[in-house]
Amino acid sequence: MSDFLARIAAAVTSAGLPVDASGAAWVLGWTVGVIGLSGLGLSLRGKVNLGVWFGGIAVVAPLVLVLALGFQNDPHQIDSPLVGKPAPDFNLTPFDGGAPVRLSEQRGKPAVINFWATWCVPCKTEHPVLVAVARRLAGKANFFGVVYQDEPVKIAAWLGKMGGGYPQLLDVGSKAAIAYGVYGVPETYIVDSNGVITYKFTGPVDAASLLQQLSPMVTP
Amino acid sequence: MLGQTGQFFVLLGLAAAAAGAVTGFGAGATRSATGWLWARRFAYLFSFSMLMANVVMVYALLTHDFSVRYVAQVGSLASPAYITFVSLWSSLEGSILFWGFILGGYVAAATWLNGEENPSTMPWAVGTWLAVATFFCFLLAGPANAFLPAPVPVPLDGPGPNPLLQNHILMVVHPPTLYLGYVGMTIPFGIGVGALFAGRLEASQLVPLRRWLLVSWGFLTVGITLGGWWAYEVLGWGGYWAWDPVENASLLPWLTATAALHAALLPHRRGALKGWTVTLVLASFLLTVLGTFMTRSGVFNSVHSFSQSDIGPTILVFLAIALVFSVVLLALRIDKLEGEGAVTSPVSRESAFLLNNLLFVALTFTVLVGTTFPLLAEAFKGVKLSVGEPYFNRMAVPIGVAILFLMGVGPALPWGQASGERVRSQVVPPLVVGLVTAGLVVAFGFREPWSVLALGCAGFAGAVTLREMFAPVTAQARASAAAGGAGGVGGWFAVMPRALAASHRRTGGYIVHAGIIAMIVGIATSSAYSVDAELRLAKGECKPFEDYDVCFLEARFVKESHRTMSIADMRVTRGSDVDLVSPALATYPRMGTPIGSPDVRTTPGYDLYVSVLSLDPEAVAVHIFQKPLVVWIWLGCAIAGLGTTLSLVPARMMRGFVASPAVAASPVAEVAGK
Repeated sequence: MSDFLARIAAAVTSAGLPVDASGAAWVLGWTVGVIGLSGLGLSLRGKVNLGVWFGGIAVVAPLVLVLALGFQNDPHQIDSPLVGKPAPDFNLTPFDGGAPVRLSEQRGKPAVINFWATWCVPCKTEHPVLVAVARRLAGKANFFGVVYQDEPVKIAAWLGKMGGGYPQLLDVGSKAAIAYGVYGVPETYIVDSNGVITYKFTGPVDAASLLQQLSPMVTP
Repeated sequence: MLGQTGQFFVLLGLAAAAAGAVTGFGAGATRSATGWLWARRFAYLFSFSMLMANVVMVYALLTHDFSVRYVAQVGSLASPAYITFVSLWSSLEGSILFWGFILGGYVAAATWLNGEENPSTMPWAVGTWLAVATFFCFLLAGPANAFLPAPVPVPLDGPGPNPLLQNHILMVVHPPTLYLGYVGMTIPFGIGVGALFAGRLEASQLVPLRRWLLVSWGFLTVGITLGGWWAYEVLGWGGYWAWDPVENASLLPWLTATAALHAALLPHRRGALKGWTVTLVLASFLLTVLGTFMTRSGVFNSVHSFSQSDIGPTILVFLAIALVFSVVLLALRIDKLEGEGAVTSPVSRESAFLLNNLLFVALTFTVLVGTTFPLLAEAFKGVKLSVGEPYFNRMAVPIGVAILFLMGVGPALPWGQASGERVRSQVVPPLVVGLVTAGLVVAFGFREPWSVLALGCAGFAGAVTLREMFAPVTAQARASAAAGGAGGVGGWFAVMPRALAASHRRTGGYIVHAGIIAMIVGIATSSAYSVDAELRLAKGECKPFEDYDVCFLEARFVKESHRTMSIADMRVTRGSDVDLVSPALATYPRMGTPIGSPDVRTTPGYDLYVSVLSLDPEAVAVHIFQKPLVVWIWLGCAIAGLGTTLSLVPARMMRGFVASPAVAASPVAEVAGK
């Protein structure tokens, strides 16, 4: 029973409301037209207060339209001023030792730089996505995790559980995070093969958006 | 197991609400006594189901039953019990469940108290309440289901609720109070819809309408202020109001409800403006739905936003239906309501009320436009912008000052026609008080014109409020002196409690006015004359701030079960006064950014407010503020809350207190009825 209701609700939420601008304007236009005309019709029979009718439409219609349009935007998406600019260089050591990685030496392939931490909950949801996409684009794109305000022991345990596959660099003193203007983790930057930032994800990435950003840059 | 039980009660509530809505409207249309009886039974059944569903959820939370997904999301073995309890409304699904509980409480109370009156309009009202209830039960049964099972394997522990909610005891009080205000608007909405359907609005409907409106208005006032107080005590930026979209969302229904409370006196007194009153009542409810949408849709970014969820479109559909329903109903039925009376005199209390209403509506539109404008700009021009404090302050301050001025003018004028001489004798003395107040604050060093004007108006309105509040006392003291009782000041104080109690609703109203005036004084002063500085101190170092000497003694790091506190112990010296303050930062495992825990030292004159920006064992950076009269805001709100409560006390409870032959024969009743 509740499953059935959940399904109805899902249908209402997903299909019931056209969330793109033209769809919303279309539905709203028709609704306003029908209500407006029926008001005129009723007024012929002296049943309706036309001032309230049209005054109400004049207030309600734009309000609903504006709110519906709001679904197009993610208020949490803050555009980075770094998009279109050269990626700040860093020279960071992997948390488990090994040779330091200098970003400016990695040109020629697009790079994905993911800022994360073990104490961050959304990082857990996006990590499998990053690992899978990194595996799929192995050899065609570089993936770097930059671990923000964390300890090597915890990172090792976390990666042991969640799986790794690409270098995880320790950002001692948060220097890289500051250079990139990281506001909170996770944040993910896409850098093209010339070292220019082309996109920034705030919050967890999903596979489709990540591939959409990367595929034009990856040589097939 | 608990999950299924909870689901059962939610579905029972949905069935009862839907059946009751249909039965209520049916009984309204057909005037069927049986239908009316069943509508009430369904109303009680709905309330019972919501109560039980909440009991089940609280039980699941307290027993840490992580097989319920909501408990797995917000529960944590490490959280203290009261925080576990707060988790009921700390996240989206639980907050809607709690919403259902409050709606259930209101519906049951209003059905019980007013169900026997107005058999021609109340079925419509109950039907409307239950239609709203149907929507919220639908949310609970579908898109915001709190009782879904947790993913297998069942987790052994959860992350705990949002850290912002764990940081201060006010978070236990602020959301429920605000919900009581928000949800309560459903009751006057139903009564208004009933009045429109039945085509009549008489005293017997106006009384419950005003009472319920006042109940939610009171909770809304206190809830909004508690939110400001929480922001002030926790967020650490030294302010209490930021014109954040969700703050605005709570202000909007407050503005229209304030207007409606005043408007509702006009049909009561003069038989005028019934349609307008109902319009404001309907608008107040619709704005609460708008507020719900703003908080829960993820369309607005704010400290209040719940996590991104897909119930936004569902709430928007409900909002659109409610808006269209209200507009169509108003347009079709408003002409039936117009009463016999009219506002005739331009200089009278009713025209002051009308002007007050226009200003409140203008302010509502101002805030509404400012809040939704960023959405509009982004949709059509693709730019992200936020309409900040300058817009709101520029627009709201003049309207607010005008309203404050009217708060003095309105009560000073009599109902009906006022003679020029009467107006002069009533208005001129308080006006002098206002001018003197303005002169005093200028002499005291205040220069910012709007704050001087606001304080002058506050003096004027305050003088009128106090005079009107005690007018019955003066009248009765005179009468009792004339009858041979004690005269003079002693006599005045002797009759005061009874005289105030005899007209307790009126007294309550003026107490509310006094509280609001105190709040405005606090807001005007603290926003215009706050001083602040950022200090960076090494361990043992001292620096001056205003006439204080601020020293950093040491840093302490305390690990608690659910958080780590980084505390900066500091000494603040002013003359011979030495004070130890310990502002802190709290770090929660779930959240990267630490949350402030400023130390606020309150005195009647000003607050000293110290907030940590960063802290390590050897150095601290603090933001330190001296803010005048902030405490007036919280006290004013408490006074307004007390006044509201006094107004709501049933007359029969007051009667025992008042019953005395001297009072019965006194002119108090006459004055009170003026």
